[in-house]
Amino acid sequence: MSRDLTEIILNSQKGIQSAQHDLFELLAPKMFGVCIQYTTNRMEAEDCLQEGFIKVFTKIDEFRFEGSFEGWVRRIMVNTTIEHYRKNKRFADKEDIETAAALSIKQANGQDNIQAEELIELIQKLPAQYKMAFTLYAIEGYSHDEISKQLGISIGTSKSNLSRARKWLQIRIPRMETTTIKKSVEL
Amino acid sequence: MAEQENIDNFFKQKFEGYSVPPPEGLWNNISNIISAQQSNRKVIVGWRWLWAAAVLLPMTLGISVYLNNTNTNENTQSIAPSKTIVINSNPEIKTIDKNVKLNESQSITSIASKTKSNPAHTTTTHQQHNNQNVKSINNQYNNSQHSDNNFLSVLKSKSAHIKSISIKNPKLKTLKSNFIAQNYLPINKPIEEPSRDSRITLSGLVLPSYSYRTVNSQAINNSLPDEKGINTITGGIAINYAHSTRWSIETGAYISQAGQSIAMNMPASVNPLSRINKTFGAATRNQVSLSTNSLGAISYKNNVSENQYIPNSKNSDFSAAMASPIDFQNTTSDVTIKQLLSYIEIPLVLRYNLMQNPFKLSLATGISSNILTNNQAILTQEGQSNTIGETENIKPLSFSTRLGIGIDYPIFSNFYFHLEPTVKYFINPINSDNTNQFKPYSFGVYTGIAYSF
Repeated sequence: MSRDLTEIILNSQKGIQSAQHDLFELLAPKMFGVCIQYTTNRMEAEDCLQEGFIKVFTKIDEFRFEGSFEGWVRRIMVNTTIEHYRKNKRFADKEDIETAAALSIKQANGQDNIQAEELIELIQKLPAQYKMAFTLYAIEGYSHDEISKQLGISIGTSKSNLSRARKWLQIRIPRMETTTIKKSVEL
Repeated sequence: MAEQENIDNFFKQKFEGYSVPPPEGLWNNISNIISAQQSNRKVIVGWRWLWAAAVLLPMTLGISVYLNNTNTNENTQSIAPSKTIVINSNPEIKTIDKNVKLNESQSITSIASKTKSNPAHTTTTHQQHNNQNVKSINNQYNNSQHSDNNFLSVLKSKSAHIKSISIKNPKLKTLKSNFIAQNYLPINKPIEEPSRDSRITLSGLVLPSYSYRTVNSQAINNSLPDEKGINTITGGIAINYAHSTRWSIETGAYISQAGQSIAMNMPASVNPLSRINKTFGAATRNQVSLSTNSLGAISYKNNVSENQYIPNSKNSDFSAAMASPIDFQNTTSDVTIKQLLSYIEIPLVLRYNLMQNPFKLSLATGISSNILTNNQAILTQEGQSNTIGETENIKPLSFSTRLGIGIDYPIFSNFYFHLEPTVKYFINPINSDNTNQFKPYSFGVYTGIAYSF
């Protein structure tokens, strides 16, 4: 952790607003990206970003410099989106795989040129329960046990949702072949 | 399966470092919310701290006093044997042996005397010494009940004799000076010095307060009269001695009040005193008492009759009162009886200063002796108040506690404006028969001027 960042964190812990603003400027773009991945639209992502940063500055005294600060903030953001998801669970998108079959990425230039924005657009349309399982497992590296506890579902449901999410995504990236994906990962 | 995992990696890689500029104005929202939360938290923390201090302060004081007492006893017992001076004045040796214990742990260390003396004599005990002064010191030092102050006085008074003893060994001279130095220091251990100015503060204070009581009687629940608290006034002087910048002790003298009022709504054409007597059952005529009166029976003076009440000559013009006595027989108005007790209150208060600037803020807690000076039952009817008697069975001496938060705001020079919201509560019931266990309490604000010398 750089000295500057440490100083900014320490000053934020003292409640100095300019330091808090610096932290926000530094981390907000990445964290907004995280929130967008976990929510269904930009407005919901903004709400999560705001709530998440309020938690960050409220709990910043608890940060003991024992790991990555960005990781710590990211964890708070992810937890905030999970809380949001659980609160709005009953209003979650009930769209199933079949009804969403019409959605797909236009890949005029091939899979390598698929931009993150396109994937975000796709993943935001992924039914909420599938999206949570997929992003927590694939992006954050949570285990099914952790996911089941966080989302209040069984481990079996978590596995099932992940499987369906993958299938749903594969349908919408039809020209994405295993080799291409592997190449992309290697790059 | 592998393809599925590749999808995972594909997304993970694409989202690596993915960032989107946050919407404008979001920081302002967050900043405003955090500022509001921080100010709220400060207030909550402040109140929690004050409440915690209010609870912990008396406990801390008690523990401190207890520990101080315990330590004093332990110190006395541990230091006493270490101060033994053994001087061998055997003429055959013609020199002085000393066995002085001076190491830091105050443990006994025998210092081998490098004199010409017979080794057998270096282990002599104090019983063998013929110097009465030294024996006297030994006896005093070996007394485990002996206090440090006494030790010092003995040391000083006998030092002349010690000096007069010829000490030939230069090491012993050093030992003697070390002995005095090292034994003085722990006894005169430096304490926190108060600021040199403003050690004594004199205050003139007035405490308007609302006074009522707690009782331990089921009978009150079915009370016929309507008992209520009363507004009281306390006034007096207080003198405060600052032991340190934080701690100070305070006493003084106040004239304070306690009591209650009983309101009776009289039906038409009912004699109020008869009504009162009836409620008392087999009461004699000179008893004005209510079976449900929580403070105690009221015994009234001779100039109160069943049908007519002649106002107390002390409170009004007697001849005028005689000319027009109040005729209870024909009155229909309500009656209020106030049972008022006046005390001289002598407090002993410990005060802890929380802050000095820009004004002094302190916590005060203590105990007061309340000496009963006046006991009145005052009947008010048709706007006229008169003393009709007094409440029976009131203790002449009662004790109360108090807890307050003092604010001293500097006005000019050494003058301060003093405000102290205070709660007072009597520890024991003030009625001697303990029938209803009447314990007065009051809420008020000490207000006045303080002058620091």
